[in-house]
Amino acid sequence: MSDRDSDLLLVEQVRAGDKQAFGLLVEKYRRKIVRLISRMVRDPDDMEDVAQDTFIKAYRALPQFRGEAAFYTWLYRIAVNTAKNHLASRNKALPTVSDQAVNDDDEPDERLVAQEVGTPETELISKQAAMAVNEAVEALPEELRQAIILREMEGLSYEEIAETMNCPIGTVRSRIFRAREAIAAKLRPILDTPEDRRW
Amino acid sequence: MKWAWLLSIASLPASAATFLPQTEASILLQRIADAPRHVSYEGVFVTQHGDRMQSLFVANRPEGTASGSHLKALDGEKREVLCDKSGATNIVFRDGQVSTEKRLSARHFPDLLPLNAAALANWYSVRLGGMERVAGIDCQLIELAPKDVFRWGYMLCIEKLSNMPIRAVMLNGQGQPLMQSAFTSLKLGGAPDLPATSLPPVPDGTRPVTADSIEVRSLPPGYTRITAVRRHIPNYPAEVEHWVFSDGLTYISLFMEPATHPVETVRGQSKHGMTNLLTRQVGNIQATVLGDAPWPAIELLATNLEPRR
Amino acid sequence: MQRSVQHTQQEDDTLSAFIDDELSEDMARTAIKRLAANRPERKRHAEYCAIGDAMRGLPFGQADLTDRVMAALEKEPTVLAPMRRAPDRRPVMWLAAATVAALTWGLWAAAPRHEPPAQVAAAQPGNVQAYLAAHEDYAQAVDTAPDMHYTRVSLTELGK
Repeated sequence: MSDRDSDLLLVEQVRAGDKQAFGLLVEKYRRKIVRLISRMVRDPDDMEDVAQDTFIKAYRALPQFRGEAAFYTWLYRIAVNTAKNHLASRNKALPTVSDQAVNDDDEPDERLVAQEVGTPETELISKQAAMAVNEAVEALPEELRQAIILREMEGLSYEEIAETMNCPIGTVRSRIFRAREAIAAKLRPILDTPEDRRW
Repeated sequence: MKWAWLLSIASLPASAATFLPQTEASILLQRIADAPRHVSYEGVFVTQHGDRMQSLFVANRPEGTASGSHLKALDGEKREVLCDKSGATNIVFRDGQVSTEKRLSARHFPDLLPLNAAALANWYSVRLGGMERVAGIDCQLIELAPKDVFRWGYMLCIEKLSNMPIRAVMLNGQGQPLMQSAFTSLKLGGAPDLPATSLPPVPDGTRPVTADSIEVRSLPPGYTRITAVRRHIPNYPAEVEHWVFSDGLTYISLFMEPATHPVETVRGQSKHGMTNLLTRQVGNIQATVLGDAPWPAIELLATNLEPRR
Repeated sequence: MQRSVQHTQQEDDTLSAFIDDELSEDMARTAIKRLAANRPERKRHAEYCAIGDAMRGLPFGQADLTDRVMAALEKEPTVLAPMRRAPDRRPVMWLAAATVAALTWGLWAAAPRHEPPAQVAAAQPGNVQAYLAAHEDYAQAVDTAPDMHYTRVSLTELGK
């Protein structure tokens, strides 16, 4: 099953009345959307607000989502329009259409990473978490490290990873799971959520 | 932030059946884009679209004071295209007269990929296929699969040593061919003769757009505006505004002129689905979006036009 | 922090495979329903999403964004709009090397035409031929004036 089908299943679930399923889509795309918005909206507090508005607008517009375009493509358009409306309401200069920043690509922009997208507090957590992930990946046994890199960085399917690493698909699935658990163990203390967190 | 462990995957064996990692895809695409710009060649290629075919002669000389390329239609109306550092010119021979006009773009087969082709890997997945033989030349098949519905795919046949495209097939979402261009004869290297330019300088005929008359609220991912001019177009009395958007491989035009009467919203589609179009009214402007792009790309752009406030 | 819920190996594998879209449709639906009803599972889902995003260089952002969105959605009417799946428009990948040999000139005539749905035909807008010719600067250096079929459409139908 592909990424698009999985998103469609989640949208179907939401449209069947299950709001919690929408939270899974938010969790999946929130950082990508915030990065997209950060190319148009410079104030870190505003970025998160615009991201929140984007997701709320997307939820309201879900009945109009026809499933012909990918969910993220559809969400991306809502984010761009929401950011532009935000800038317009603040009488800020609208980015020109030819501004590269309007187009999202899948490769992290080194320049933007350096300028980054948060308040000092979130930036600190961001850096600590990123370092924890980096160290955790480096510390993984070789076969787990290769598997998680090919999945998360190169976007290969389990079948493609199995072919590349010359092992069964079941082994790939297990290695990726074990890699995630090992990394999550190092990440959890930094991101640990208070008990009263609803999500 | 550089991830040190990225280097460790460089030695992983490549698989002929899998998509290339994005970094490798970018490098390969750039090589394919550079090849026809840096290699001398002379040959004949055929372009087929539906039941229409046209043969063209092409000569390219990338270096020196007489660098450029020259194309000549070998059937139908006598037409030529001359490309050099200053741009590209159409030359039409009709009824004993020669008329020339500037082309907005020097793009032609086999120069299909843009100057900065590495970025295409953001929008197209690249996979190596097997070997083919085209025009007597052994080539590697390369598949460019679009990552979304906003662009067509391509199958390229690339000469192994020079990375020169020998055949290019534009494919729809079902893998059916929409258009293809392929050399039927090709000589690589040497010093092809380009015609000495005895034509008078061709006036540009375009003026840059200084203030946008329309606002584009949203574009398909990867597309940017690459041109915005006011120009006269052949066989048309009025000056129009012509914008062009591209992801580097797919091109969409937006034409605008004052709406002298209410404009009906009309959708157009070519017989085989390759070319799509929408014309509509935006404020007091008649706007027409068209391109060799899937309908969702045309629709997204055309439905996100607003009068500039 | 201790987990309050014990997971079997099967369940753990499943969530990770769900994140990677490697489950069958039935199993994915089951995983979604379980996630929606189970907070510790959602927390693990969030951790896995965070790991992937971190590896791809995305900043972590504010930890409670999802929380705030879900709190706002509590005030929203529940969406009840059962979905009819659109046909899969993903580009199919693609042609194996052996089948490219089938891309001969002869096949062109047999290529199925893309028939637009039955709609109200419209006359060709007057300036379109000139526009198509002008756009050809960016196509390939070939004088192709495509045969076009025109239909009247409504902007509201197009989702505007």
